[in-house]
Amino acid sequence: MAHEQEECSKKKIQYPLDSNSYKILNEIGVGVSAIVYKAACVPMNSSVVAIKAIDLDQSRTDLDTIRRESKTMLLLSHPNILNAHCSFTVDCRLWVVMPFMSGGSLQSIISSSFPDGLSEPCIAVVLKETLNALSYLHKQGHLHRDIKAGNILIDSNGSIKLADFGVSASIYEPNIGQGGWSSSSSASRMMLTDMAGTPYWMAPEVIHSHTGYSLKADIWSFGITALELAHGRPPLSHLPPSKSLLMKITKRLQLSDYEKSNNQKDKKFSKAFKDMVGSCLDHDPSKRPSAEKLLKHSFFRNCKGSDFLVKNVLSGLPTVEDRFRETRIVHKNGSVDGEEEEDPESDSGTPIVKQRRISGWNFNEDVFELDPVFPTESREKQSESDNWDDNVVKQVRFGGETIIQDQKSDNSSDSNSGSPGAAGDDQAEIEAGNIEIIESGGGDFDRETVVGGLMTLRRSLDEQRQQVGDMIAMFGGEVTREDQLVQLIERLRMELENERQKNFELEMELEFLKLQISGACTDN
Amino acid sequence: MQLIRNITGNPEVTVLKEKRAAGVLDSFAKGGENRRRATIGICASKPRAEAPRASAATPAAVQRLSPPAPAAQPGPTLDSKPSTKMKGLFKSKPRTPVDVVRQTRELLIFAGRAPDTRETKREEKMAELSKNIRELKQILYGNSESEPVSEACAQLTQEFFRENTLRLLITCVPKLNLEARKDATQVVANLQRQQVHSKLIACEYLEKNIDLLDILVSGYENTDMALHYGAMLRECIRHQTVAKYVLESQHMKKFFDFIQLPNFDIAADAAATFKELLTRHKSTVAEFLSKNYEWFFAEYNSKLLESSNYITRRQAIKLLGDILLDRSNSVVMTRYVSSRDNLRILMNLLRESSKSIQIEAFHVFKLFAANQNKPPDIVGILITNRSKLLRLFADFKPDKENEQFEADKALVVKEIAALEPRDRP
Repeated sequence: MAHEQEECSKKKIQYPLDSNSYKILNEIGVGVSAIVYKAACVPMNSSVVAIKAIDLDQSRTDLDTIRRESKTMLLLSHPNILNAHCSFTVDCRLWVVMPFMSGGSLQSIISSSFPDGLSEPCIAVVLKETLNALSYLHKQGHLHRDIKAGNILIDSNGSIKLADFGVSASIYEPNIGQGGWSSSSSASRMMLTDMAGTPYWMAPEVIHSHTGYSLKADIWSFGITALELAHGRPPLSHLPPSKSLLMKITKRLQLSDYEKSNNQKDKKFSKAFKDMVGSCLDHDPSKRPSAEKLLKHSFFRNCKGSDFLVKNVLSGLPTVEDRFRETRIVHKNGSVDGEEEEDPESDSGTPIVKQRRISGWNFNEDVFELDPVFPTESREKQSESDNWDDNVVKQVRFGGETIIQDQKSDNSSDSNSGSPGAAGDDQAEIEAGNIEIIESGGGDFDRETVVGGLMTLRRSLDEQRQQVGDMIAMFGGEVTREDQLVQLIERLRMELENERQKNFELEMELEFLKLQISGACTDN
Repeated sequence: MQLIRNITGNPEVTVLKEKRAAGVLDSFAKGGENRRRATIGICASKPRAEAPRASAATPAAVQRLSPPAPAAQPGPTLDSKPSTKMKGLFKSKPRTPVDVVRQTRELLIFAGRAPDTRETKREEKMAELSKNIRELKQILYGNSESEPVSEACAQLTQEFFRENTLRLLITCVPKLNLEARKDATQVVANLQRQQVHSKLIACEYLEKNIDLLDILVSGYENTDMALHYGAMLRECIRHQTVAKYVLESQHMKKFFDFIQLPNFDIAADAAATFKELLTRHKSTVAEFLSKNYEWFFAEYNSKLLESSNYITRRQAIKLLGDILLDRSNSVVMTRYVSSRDNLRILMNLLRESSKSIQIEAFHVFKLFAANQNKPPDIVGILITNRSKLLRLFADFKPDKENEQFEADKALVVKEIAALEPRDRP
């Protein structure tokens, strides 16, 4: 707690509370209802700051949430946590003045310069610093609830700070219940039950929020962030974060992208790293280690210092402004920085197509990825599940309780990520049909010309599709083509409806069983 | 399989078990820097005793430590001699919650004194104080491994309010460091809810020491204190009598200014307290509003609803809706919706460019329209603006589909459309 004394000795400098004192230099980030600027604080020798301007009128969150976020940021004091200098309103925008972190977010660094992820020693430094912040936060009784590379910032000197408390919650907040620090799943009164965060990084128990979640949800997200840093993207990120993910674990599965991840098989990670991540991604929250405990993990022993990041990550990196401009060109009307990309497929006009259910994700240590788990107990595909050649994986079901199974299949693990390809059932075909339609609609746009975007575009076919959908919407589409599409979609919809009917009963039964199981689980 | 891998792959598990063995230390001396000690000094005496600077021994602690302790001199002075010799001589029991409160009180008294002692010693004492406050918090809230024990909480609360500890703590907050301030805030917050023999003794204490509320409210005038005192204040006004005091005090007028302070955090905190005061205790609020109708709504309209500050207007119109739509305030509501001045302000808010403000304004405006005993001048204004209003409502809807809103809107539209000029004076 050395920093405690440190912080108390230095008097907090009061930054000016009026917009005229700041000169906006650049835009460096954009979210749904917020813009981040690089700015100079004129009365303070034009020192550089970052200003997050949140549109309060557009903002979907209510003022109380924003007040809490702001207060949380103000009252936290840790070298690895990004604090706000001050905040004030400018018309209907809230300006949050923060230190400017010249390196930007790890997410933007990865997508601009390290598409295949960082090296392990670099990851170790980043994760260790992040853990320091997380450990402090958790000791204070706060949950971050949105740990991801996009929220981990780096300064020119290599120092790492955890940012964005947009969705953070305090387990001390009176309305959630007076209570202790318990992070065990049994302490149900301590549980937060609303949903927050970004889908890919979300812990299973957060998605299935009926079981509540606690500090350990951050640990899961931390594990996902580790994978993100290692692979350049979070697992399953080729899937759109759709509403269906939030409501149920009904997810689209894009097969081609899964094969892609195989390329990274050659990437070697140490046993310690795999073990560390594996422990974070345990489906049973109570089995995940605490942040404090994780810090003592062997993976973080002999961890390099921040200069190592300066040399290996920051040198030769384009500036935050340039990187932002680049992504802007690529994303035009999409969202940037991985922030709030939960723009569902509503714009593409297609109804959410229910695809095969994924009942959980297995962390597969061999390829260092999350593998989807298909419900084995659902009668429809009892036999097919034998085809999954996940070698030894811990299979854990979502929905409260944990069933750890040893799933050894006879097949050798030659095509691990290709295995979901076996799921060639009717629905998958419909899905394929859908792609075709939308693709043909977007054929007019020559995406190849966007040279700088190749890297980002490679990230996922689905993302492209969403963009094309956006573009069609933007240009108003072409009437004739639209008509054709409508007809096609209609036909497919009919087919789909039939499939749905069939599935409905099965799903109902499944839900019922799940309820029973989780009921039985909470009784314990 | 994986389970096994987890356990074997995680050397920390064993450490955890050791910690469990030292359960006593865990529950009373854990958190922060003490955590380390808990693992190292399992069979040593209490952490405080091993600290070279020695504990400031309170009389109670000494009794429990058995008389032969030569190093620990009883007495109210805090200038205890170094008691490093004590270490290991005899095993002491962990301090009881009562001990912690007493020692905290001693240290608070010390901290409240003018700094005449040498600075180094003062720093030590302040660190000790911070640690004690943290310990209080841990007894009240539990920690990551144990739930709070109600018996311990009750003892702590009783001892806390037996003497003047709350006053000492509140006045001492400015002298604490950030972490200790946060801990103190949480301790004070928690104590407001602790029941001893099914009585909220915090409430009884505050009733007798009601001037403490003056200190807390004035916190909004101090940037450093505002958020801490603000949070404490909101907890204290959970008690109806305390809220009544604040509502009827001169402080109430100050809130109209606090809410508009340029510092967002402080302004928002004041707004949250303001809202709590005006919504929590129904009967008290109704009584307050009836008695203070004139000045209160005059201020409310001119300072808040017509403020140049977006966020003030938005919060004010939302709160106004909450107040007027509350059944217990029906008398006040009827009075409010009979005033043409109020209607004028509401209609201006309906024209705002901000959707959120428009929607909230509608929820108040509908009361004017739905009032079955509209005064003639209200009817007159509505008729004069009828076409404009109907046009406005035609494509007026919240971002999210809302059946209730649509129903309300239909009713308002119908009501306005059907208006006929009555016998005007």
